[in-house]
Amino acid sequence: MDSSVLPIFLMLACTLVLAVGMLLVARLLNRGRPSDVQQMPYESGMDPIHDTRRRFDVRFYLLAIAFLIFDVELLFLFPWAVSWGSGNQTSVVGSQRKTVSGRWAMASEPQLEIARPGSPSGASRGNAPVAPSTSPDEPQNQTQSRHLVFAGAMTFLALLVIGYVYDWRKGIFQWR
Amino acid sequence: MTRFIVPRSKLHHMTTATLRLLMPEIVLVAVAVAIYLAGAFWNGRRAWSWIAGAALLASAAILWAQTSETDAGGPLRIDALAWFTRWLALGLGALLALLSSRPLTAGGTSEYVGSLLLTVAGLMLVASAADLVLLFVALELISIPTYLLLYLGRSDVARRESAAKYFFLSVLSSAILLYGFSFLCGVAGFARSAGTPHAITEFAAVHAALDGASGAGQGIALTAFAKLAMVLVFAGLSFRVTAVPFHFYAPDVYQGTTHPNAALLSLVPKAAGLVAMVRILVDAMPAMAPHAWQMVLVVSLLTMTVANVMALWQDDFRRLLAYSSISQAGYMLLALAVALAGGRESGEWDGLATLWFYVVVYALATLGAFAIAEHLGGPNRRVDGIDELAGLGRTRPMAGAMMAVCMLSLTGVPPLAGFWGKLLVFGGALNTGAGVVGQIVNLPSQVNNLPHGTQWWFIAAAVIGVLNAAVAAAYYLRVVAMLYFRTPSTTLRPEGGRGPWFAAVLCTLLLIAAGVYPGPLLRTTTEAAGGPRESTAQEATASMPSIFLDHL
Repeated sequence: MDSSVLPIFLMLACTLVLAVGMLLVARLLNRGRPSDVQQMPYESGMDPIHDTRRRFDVRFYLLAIAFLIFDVELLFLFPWAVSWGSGNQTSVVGSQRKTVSGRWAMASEPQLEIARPGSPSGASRGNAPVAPSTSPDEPQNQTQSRHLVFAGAMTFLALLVIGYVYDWRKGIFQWR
Repeated sequence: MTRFIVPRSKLHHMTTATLRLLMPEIVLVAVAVAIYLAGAFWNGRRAWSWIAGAALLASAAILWAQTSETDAGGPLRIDALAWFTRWLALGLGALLALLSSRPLTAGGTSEYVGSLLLTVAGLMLVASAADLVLLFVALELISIPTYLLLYLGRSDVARRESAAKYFFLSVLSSAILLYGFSFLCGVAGFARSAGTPHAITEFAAVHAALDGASGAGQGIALTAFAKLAMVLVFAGLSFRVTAVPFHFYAPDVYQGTTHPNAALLSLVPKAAGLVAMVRILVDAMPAMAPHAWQMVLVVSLLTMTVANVMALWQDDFRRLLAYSSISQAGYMLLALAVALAGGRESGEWDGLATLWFYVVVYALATLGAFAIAEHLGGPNRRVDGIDELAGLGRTRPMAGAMMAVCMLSLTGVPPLAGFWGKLLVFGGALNTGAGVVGQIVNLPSQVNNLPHGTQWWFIAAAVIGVLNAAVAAAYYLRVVAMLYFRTPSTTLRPEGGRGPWFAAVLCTLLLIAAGVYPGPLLRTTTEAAGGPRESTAQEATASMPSIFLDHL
């Protein structure tokens, strides 16, 4: 095994020792006379008023789903927004740098795709396919990739809006 | 996380090429989304099925127009198997759309049709994925709409049980599958950190890592992880294929839902599971094949035996077909075991060609049977018990005959396509074990790389398989006997509409056609089997069992 994975095993060992140790120490120090208050389930310092397993209104479920949709939206938009800003300010991309990272040409490369100053951004806006190994029109490719990423993000947003409209029409925002 | 670096000039090309290759799937998903949305504004009733049909046609047209541009360099792999599965998915989608063309009484027809399209797109995507994440997303694109379909199909207590049962077990199986994928991802990541070119797909990276794994040091760890991954992935996919330890849900779920839903459940997830199994076990980790075939063989034998015995006691039509679907999965897994054990090196009796042939034949027969049952029902009534079919051969000769054809094909009676499927499966198993009985059966052994003694396993498997087919005949023929030798107890009024009827006619005709003249279908499936085999892809396209060619 590689020594680079040693920290993982160290962490595992620490976790194990801590977890077992805490239980063990509690067991040793405990006098073993539980009172009613100690036996009570802990609920943020309040007295529990009923059993946990009771029926909830289905409206909560719908609300949770709707929340989840927009939560995921935030989750995906956040890295995009962050990399967008950093790319604009630092403009680390030089024409000599010919690689981008990221697997599917989607969310993670905008910071490298932000055009350097003076790139002919209006050169070709269409989605016309470009031959793979044409290095002379590198800026053009770059612009197109940028459009592609933008289009991808917009498609994602449009799908979420569709979900929103669907929810709306189905009336899940009305508390009936 | 391992990153893989793509030259920027290629990146744009790669993305557009990926999008272009995925256009058939994108069309389906886009139309599905549009149907969901439009259904919230407008109660289209029958129109949705027509729109779905149009979407399937449009997708087929785009697929037809695509050239064989195979390598996008991205997460896709469009090879012969992908082409075959995509066409199969579109065909199944069209038949299922016909089968469920009657609008639901309780509403939600637009959601139903949209979900159907999504499952079809999912199946197409499963075949094209060469990347673990994409494969998982594609499998979920089948599962998640299926939960909805199960819930929308009926409006009584049984559907709630059915939907909940399927949902929880499906989620559990996805978790097992993901756990297996995480190990595979590690194996692929190891290959990439060890200097395998980054442009290759994740499956190819797994392949490279395991080929390079030697018996010492890291090799042992890699092989151990790969074995673990193999078992977990097989277990996760077994749920979708309904292989035996994971089959429990099928009878209850089928019984509690509608005929179109049961047809979809017995076809789409099963085909997707098998394609994914082939992708991972055969395509990505051939180095593990000596372990994999043993696992698949044992599960296959268990599956067919348990299901066939259980099916003997069933009186509910969908429950019977659920056990039938489980047992047929056993035969399919036997073909997969043959392929894994080296049946692929023989030009004839190619295990994978057999597998795809069997899948098509099984799909047609099962769809046909469900279509007739759906046709015989009505908006407020379903055919549930087998005894409701009593005397159908006399009261409705055409429907009775079609049901008989489907049942006989599932049995494997000679003039029908099912016979060729069974013959190929058992022939392949015998051929793999032929070294032992070569003198008796006079089959030249074509598989030589098996360790001595293991060939007996395949002989035993073939014998158990044939015995199982005999047991299965008992319950299939029971339905046929019900059709012709019983006096009708209730009068069935076929109110299912023209769609199911048309689907049933189509399936029956195809079954008879493929039974009388199996050449074209065999050639297609042999071509599809040529896909995952990288080195010897050429040879497979030309080969099919010569005994058939000689007689056709």
